[in-house]
Amino acid sequence: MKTELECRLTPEEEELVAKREELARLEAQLADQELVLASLKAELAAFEGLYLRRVGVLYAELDEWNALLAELRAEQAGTPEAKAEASEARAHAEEAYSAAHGEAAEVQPFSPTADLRKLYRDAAKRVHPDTATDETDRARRERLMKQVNAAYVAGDEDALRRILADLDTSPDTVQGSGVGADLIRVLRQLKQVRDRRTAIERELVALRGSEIALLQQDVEHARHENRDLLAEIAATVRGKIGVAKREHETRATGVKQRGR
Amino acid sequence: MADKTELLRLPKSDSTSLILSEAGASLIARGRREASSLLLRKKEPLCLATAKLNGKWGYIDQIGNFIVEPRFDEAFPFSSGFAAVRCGEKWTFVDKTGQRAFGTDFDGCAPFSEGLAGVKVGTKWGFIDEGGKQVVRPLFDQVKGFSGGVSGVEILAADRRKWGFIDTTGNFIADAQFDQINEFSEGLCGIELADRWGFIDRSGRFAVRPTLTYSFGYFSEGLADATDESCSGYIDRNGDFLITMECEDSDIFRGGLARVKINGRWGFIDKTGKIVIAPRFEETARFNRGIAGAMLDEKWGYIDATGKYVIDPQFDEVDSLNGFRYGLTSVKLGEKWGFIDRAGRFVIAPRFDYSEFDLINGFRCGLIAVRIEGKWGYLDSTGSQFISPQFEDALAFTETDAPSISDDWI
Repeated sequence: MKTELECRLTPEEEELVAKREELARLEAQLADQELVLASLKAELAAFEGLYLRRVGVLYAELDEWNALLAELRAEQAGTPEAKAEASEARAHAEEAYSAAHGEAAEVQPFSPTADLRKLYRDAAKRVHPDTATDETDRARRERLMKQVNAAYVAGDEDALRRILADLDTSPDTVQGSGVGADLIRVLRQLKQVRDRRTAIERELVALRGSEIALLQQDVEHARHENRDLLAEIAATVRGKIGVAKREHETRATGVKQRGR
Repeated sequence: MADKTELLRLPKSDSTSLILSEAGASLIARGRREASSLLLRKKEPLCLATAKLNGKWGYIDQIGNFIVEPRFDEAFPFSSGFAAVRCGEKWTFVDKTGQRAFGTDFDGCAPFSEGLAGVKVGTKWGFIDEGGKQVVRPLFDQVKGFSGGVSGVEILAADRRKWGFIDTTGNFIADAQFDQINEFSEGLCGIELADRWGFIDRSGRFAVRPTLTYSFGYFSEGLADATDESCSGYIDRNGDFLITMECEDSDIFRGGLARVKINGRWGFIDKTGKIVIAPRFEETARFNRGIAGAMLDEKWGYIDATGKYVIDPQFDEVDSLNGFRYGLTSVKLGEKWGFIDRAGRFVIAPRFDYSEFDLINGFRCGLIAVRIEGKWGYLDSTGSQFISPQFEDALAFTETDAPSISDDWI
């Protein structure tokens, strides 16, 4: 009599298999979403850099002239209100200068290659903190995910490959045993992944509705009409600088004449 | 500003504030407001206004920025893409960037119309094209500007001023023989010859021979008011009386209705000559988008096409030149002028003297020049301060590429 060796799975094991399949599917989707989110952030950061270099610096210059004007008015009027206004205008000008000339203004255009995107997706899938099995694991994954994000935004494919290679040989990748414990871990991972996906969706919606994204859309929209909107804004701000300069000169001359 | 690596970390919450610092966000918000405004305004034709600062005139955009720096002693509104400006005794044209359009200076400049502009050389006027080339020699004492390829020109000979008409090459299509001429309206131009009024067409021929003892001299909606030895009323383009009536005064048609004064009171007739609004008003303005100013007991209100008051008579004066523009018209209450909407509600409270807002032009390109605390700025049609008061003087916005608006009061 021919007998076949049957290895039946227990209901727990069957559920574990099904949940692991679901987790794998969701992890792949999560990696895609992380890629979209990281790309959008990098793109907006690059646009912000461009904006600050072309327009932000001009607003900072305008604020500087407005601060000088306010200080001149305070000098002429000598009232506490005028002095408070001048102090506020000076603080505002300093903030604008820091923002326009800070690190954000140095971010360069972002255009990831297909390879970079694939590497990021693979790495994000492997190290995602929301697939952590415990707090120690989460901390390690968060650290790795930061490295992955930094490598992606810097366009550093080699760095991403190194991270992936290290992961392959890392003892940390070994999973624990025991069906019950595994099932609990997988269920927890599933919840974390679902939560993270929801959070990413929310963040994408908010990012796409942010001022910088809307400004970028305006610029793109204008580009299709062969217009350089950033140049137009810059011209407008330059005009305002001209008005502020003239007013400052007029007031300064007045002060000198009265002083004679 | 935080480190970008940190910025791109995975968020624990759905906050998006991690991209920008507060100051950076403020710079972006300012740019976005400017961008929205630029996108919105660029959909409309470019409008510029003349404004005066430190004793000189320049051109501002609808944000209030000088697009052409104030450096002229006199500056006319843009039309057809050019503006006439004066420096000292000399005139020239500038383009929309403020650059001198041609190398030549003139002793006088008139607005461009149909690609040609009147220019004065010495004491005589001729015409140049948009390349600055002289196309009609300076032979005339006054010029009107081209309309349909024809311009009125005046010649002073033997102490008598006479008007004629030339084509774009400078050839006369009607000899200088007329004592007065109007602008062309609906293809015809009112002329006065030996105390009689008639109309000529653009070929220089009489469409209506000069037999009328009086006419306002403008065709509107196919009819012109006319009086001859035997009757008064309205003539068609052939000079035939379509409407005859007994009245003391009359006006052109607007919206199918014309003002007529009978027994000292104003009413309205339709194009069949039928009185549709009985003459009971002390004064009226022309119909404008379905309503007209009408005065009773020395107070102005607004009536509809049936003669019924839709805005009760309560104002001391109304703007009978511009009527409603951008949903508003100026009215005087007591000693001050303000702006009401078509429901009669004040949108801009009566707080301006006659000389403190641009009564002549009213709202143009959505804005009106007003003087507040000694400085001129602009209000929009919501009454909001659109360009803050900062100029010594300021005039109406005009569409830079549109033809001249000098005669649109008719």
